[in-house]
Amino acid sequence: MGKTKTGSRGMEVKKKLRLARQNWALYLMLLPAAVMIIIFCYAPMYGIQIAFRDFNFADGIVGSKWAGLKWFRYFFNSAQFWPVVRNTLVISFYSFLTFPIPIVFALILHNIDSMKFKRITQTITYLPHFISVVVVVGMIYAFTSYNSGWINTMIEALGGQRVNFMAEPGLYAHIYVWTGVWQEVGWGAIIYMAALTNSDPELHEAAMIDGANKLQRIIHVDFPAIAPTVLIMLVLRCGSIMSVGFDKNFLMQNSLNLSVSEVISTYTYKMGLQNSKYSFSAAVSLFNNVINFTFLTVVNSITRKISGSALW
Amino acid sequence: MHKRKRFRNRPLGDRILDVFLYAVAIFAIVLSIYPVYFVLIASVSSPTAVSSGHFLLWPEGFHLTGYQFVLENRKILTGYYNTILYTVAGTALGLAFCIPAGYALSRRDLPARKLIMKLMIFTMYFSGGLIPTYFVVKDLNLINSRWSVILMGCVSVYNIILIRSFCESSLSEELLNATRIDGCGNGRFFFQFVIPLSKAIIAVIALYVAVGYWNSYYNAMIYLNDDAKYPLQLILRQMLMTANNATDIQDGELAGEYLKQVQVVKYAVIVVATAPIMCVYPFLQKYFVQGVMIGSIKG
Amino acid sequence: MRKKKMVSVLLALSLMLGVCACGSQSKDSQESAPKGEEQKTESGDSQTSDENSSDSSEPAGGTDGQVTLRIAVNKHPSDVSDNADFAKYKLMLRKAEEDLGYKIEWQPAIDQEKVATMLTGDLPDVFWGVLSDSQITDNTGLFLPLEDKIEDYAPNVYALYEESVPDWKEFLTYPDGHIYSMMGGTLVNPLNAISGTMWINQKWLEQLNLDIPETMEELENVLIAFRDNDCDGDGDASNEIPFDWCHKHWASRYVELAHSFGLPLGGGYYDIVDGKIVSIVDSDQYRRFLEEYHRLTAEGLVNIEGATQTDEQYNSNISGGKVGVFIGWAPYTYISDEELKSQYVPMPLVSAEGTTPRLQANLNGASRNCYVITTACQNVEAAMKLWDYFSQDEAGSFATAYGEEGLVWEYVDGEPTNRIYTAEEATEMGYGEIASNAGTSTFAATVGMVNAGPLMLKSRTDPSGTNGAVRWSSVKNYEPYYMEQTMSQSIIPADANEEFSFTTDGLSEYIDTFACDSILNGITDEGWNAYVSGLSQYGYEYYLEFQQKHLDNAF
Repeated sequence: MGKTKTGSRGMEVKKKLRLARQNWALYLMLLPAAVMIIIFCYAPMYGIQIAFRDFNFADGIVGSKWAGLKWFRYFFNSAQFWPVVRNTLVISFYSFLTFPIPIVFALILHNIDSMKFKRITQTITYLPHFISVVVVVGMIYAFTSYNSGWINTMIEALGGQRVNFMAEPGLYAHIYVWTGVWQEVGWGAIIYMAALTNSDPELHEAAMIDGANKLQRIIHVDFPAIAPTVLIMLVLRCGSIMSVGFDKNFLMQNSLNLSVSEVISTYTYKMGLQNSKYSFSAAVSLFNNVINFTFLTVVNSITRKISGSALW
Repeated sequence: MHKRKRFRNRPLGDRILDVFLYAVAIFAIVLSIYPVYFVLIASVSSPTAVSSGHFLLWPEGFHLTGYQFVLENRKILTGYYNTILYTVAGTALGLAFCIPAGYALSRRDLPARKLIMKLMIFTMYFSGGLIPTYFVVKDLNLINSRWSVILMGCVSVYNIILIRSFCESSLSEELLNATRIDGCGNGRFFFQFVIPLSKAIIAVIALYVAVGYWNSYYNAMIYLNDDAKYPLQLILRQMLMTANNATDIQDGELAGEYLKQVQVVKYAVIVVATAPIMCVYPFLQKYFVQGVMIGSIKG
Repeated sequence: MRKKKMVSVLLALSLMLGVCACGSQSKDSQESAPKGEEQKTESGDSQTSDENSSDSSEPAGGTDGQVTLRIAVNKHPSDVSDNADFAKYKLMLRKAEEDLGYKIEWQPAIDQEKVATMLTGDLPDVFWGVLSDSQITDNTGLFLPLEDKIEDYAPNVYALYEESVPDWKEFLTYPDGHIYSMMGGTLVNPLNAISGTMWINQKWLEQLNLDIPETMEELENVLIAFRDNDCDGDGDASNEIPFDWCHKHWASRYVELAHSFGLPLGGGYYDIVDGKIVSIVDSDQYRRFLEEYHRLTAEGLVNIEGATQTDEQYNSNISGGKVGVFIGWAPYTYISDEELKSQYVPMPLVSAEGTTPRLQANLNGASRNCYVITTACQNVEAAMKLWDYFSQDEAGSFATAYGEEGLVWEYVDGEPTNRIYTAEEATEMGYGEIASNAGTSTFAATVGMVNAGPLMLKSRTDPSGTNGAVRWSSVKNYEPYYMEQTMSQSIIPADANEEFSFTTDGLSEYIDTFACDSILNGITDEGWNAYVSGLSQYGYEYYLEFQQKHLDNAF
C-alpha cells in the first residue's frame, strides 16, 4: 500500500511540475499582479498587530505596549456592542435579500428586442450610481420632509396623513435599502449583461423551434449562461456581511433613529473621534474582517459541495 | 439569420411578457432620470429651493454662481487634469495587470492555482492598515509622487475574480486544445484568442477601474503633499468638508459663513466632477456583443 | 517568436515600473514649486521614522548655518492658497522668514489621516494648530518639553503670559508635568463663549402688534399668533414655522432650549453648584422642560422636524422667510438677503415660570495646543524664536492671525478693530488675485492663520454694522445668566480619558435620543422611569464622578 501510494503521489507531483514548466507563460501573466499584491498588501500585513497593542506614535507599531485582547474586551463589553452589531446585520441581510434584483433587471434588458431602447435604458439607469451619497441623502431628507417635502404633499393631496419619515426608526432600514437598490440596480446589472453575452442565440432559436415561450427561454437558456457569474457574485457578497457602509449611515442618522442607524462603522468613527485610538478601530476592523472571512469560507465550501465550482 | 416574427404573430404569452419588459424598463428610466435631472437643476437653483423639498421641474432662483466659481477656480482645472491622468494611466495598468492574471487563474491546468487564489482573496479581507502601508510607500520613495496614486489602485482582487469567472465559463477547453494542435503556445493563445473573445469583460473591468480612479481621493490625500497633483475628488472633498467642520467649531463666525458659501456652489461642483465619467459607458456598450466564437466549435 | 515577444513586453513593463518608481522622487522635486520641494529633499532626511535619531548629513538644521524648519500647519477649508505656497498671502509668515533669515517649508495638514501619517513617519519640526489635546497627551514621546525654554528663547511670549495670563503654567502643563505647547487664539472672546442664541422676526411682531417675549408664556402667545396668521405675506396662513431648531446643526441643538429652564445643558450633562457637580438629565425640572416642548410641538408651535432635519433644510427654512423664531449663531449665518436679514432681532433668554435661566459659558477662548515642537526638530531655539517673532507685540499677533494691518482690521484709538473693506482696497494692497473674495471668510482664511494665531488677549472690536456687532447684540442678553463657576481647563491624562470614553460610550446618544424622542412624542411615566434607570447602564454615575474629578483637578 505504502509504496504504491508514495508512487502515485510521486507521479502526481511530477505531473504537476511538468505542467508548471509547460505553463510557465501563465505564471508570467500572474507576476505583475502578484508583485503588486505582495508589495502593497502583504508587506504591510504586520500592521494587523496594532489591534493587539496599545499603539501610540512615539513607540511605533512594534514598540507599543502589548495589550492582548483589551480592545476586543472593551468592544464586547460596551453597552452599544449588541445594538450596533444587530443594526449592522439587519441592514446587511435586508440588502442581501435584494441581491437578485440587478440579475432580473439584466435579464429583462437583455431580452428587450429593440437594440436602441435597450441601450438607452442601460445608459440612463446606470447614472444614479454616480450621484454622490451626500446628494442622495440630501434628496432623501428634502423629499421626505414632513413640512415641505413633495412626497408628503402628494400623500396629503391623495387624502392620506403626512408621515415623518426620517423620524421613524421602523422606516429607516426600508429607506436605506430601497434607495440603495434604486441607486445601484443599473450599475449592478452591468456585470450580468457582460455575462449574458455568453448566452448563445442559437440555443434560443433551437428552444423556440421546440416550442418554448420567451419566459421559458429566459429561465432555461439565459439564466444558466450567467449562473456561474451569479454564483461568484453571491459568494463574494457573503463576504461582506459585516461591511455596512459608513457614509450613507452617518449622513442618514439623526437622534431619533440612532437605535437602528448606529452601525459598526459609525460607532467606530465616533469612538475614534473622541480619543484617536487607532488600536481600537483596528481591533473592531479585525473583528469585522474575521467574521466576513469566516462566513465567506463557509459559504464557499457549501457552494463547492452543491455546484462543484466556487471561489476556490 | 433567423427572421423575427411580427409582433402580432407571436404567441400571446410572449407579447404580454414583452409589454411587461418594456414597462419595467420605462419605470426604471423614470426613476433614474428624475434625480439626475434634479441634480442638474439644483446646480443652477438657490439652495433654499433645493433643500426645501419641493418637486422641482424647473430651476428656482436661477443663478450661475456655482459654475462661475468652478470656472474661475484654478485648482479645479488642475484637478481635472490630474484625474484624467490618473484614470487613463491607472486603467491601462489595471487592465494590463488584472486581465492576464484572471485568465491565468481560470486555467484548470495551472498547478497551485487554488492556493494562489486563496492567498489573493485573503488580502481582500485582511490588511495592515494605513500606518504600515504608509511606511511601505515611503520606503519605495513614492511619497508625493503621482505613481503612488496610480499604482495603488490598479490591482483589485475582486476584478481578477470576475475575469477568472468569465474566462472559465466562456472559454472552452476544446478551443484551447484545438489551437494547441496547431502549435499555439499560451502567450499567443492569450493575445490571439482570449482577448478578442473577452471584449465584454474587458469593457466591464475597464469601466470598473476607470470609475474607481475617477472617484477616488483617499490615496491622493495620504500620499500627496502638493496640491498641484491632487485629483478632482480630493479638491472637492476638501472644499465641501461640511460634515467634518461641524465637530470642529472653533469660531462660529467662520464656520457659519463657510456653510452658506458651500451650499451655493455644491451642486455645480458635483455636476462638473461627475459628468465626464458618466459619459464613458455609452462608448463601451458596443463591446457588449455576443462572443464571436460562440458555437464555432461543433461536434 | 511570439513567446519571446510577449515575454519581453512583460519584462519591459515591470522594468519600466521599477525605474519610474525609483526615479520619481527626484523627478517630482524638480517639477513643483522650487522653494517647497527643495526644502523637502534637503531637510527631508532628518525626519526618519525613529524619532530620536539625529540627522547625520546636516548639522543643526542646514549647511552654512542656514536654519531650515518644516512646519505642519492647519489650513482652513476656505483658504484658497496652494499647498506648495502656503505663505503667499500671509504677510507675517513671509516677514518672519525674511527678518529671521529662516527657510521654512509650510506643510498643510487638513485631514486627520494626513496628521496620522505625519505622526508616524514624517515628523515635521513643528505642528502649528494641527494637534488636539488628546493627540499630544497620548504621544508625549514625540514632543519636546518646553518649560525651561520659554523664558530664554521666547522672551516676548514669556512676558505676555506672566503679565496677562494668570495660571498660565497650570493651563499649559500636561499630566506628566511638562509643557509641550504654546497658547494660541483669543483669551477673552465673548462672542465665542456660548453657542446659539435666539432670534425673532421683528417685522412679524410689528405686524401683529406684539412685543418681544421675555418669558415662556409670552413666547407661547407670540408663537400662537405666528402660527395662525399669514406672517410672510404669501397668502397661506399655514406654512409658517413659528419656532425652528435643528439638532443636526451645532448651534441649534435641543440643549440650547433647556437653558430657559435653568438647565445648563450646553456645557455638558451637569451643573456646578457650590463646587459640586449636580446631575441635570434626570431631574423633575428636566422632565418639565421636555414635556413643555412636547406640548408646544404637538400644538404646531415648534417645528416637528427639529430633531431630524439637516442643517441644509434648516438654512432653507430660515432663508426662505418661513420662520418666526430660530436659534442659531446669527441671522447672517443663514440668510444672504439683506432685507430678510434685518428683520431678525435678538430675543432675550426667555425664562420658564419660576426659573432663572442658566448656561455654561466658555470664557477662556485660548487654545492650548497651538504650537508644538517635535523631537525631530534640530533647532529648538530657532523654532521658539519664530513663535516669539509672531508674538512680539499685539500688532504682530493680530497680523499673524488676520493679515496685515489696515485691511481686515486696523487700530482705532488703540483698539484693534474689524474693518469693512472692499475688493478695490484689497487689490491696492497687493491681494488682487484673491480680491474677489473680499469681505468673506475665504479672504480672512487666506491672509491669516485665523484661530491658530499666537495668543491675543482680547478679540477685535466690532464697529456697529459688522457681523460681530450683530452677534454681540444677542450674546450680551445672555451674559447675566452665565454660571458662576465653570469647568476646569486642566488637561485630562490619557488613561483617564480612555477609561472615560469606554465607560460612557453611548451615553450622550442615549440622553440625546430620549430628549428628542420626548419632544416629539411626549413622556409616559414608565418611559421616564425606564430612561432614568437606563442611565446607569451607560455609565452616568461614572460620568458625574469624572466631571467632579476634573473640576477638582484630582486626577
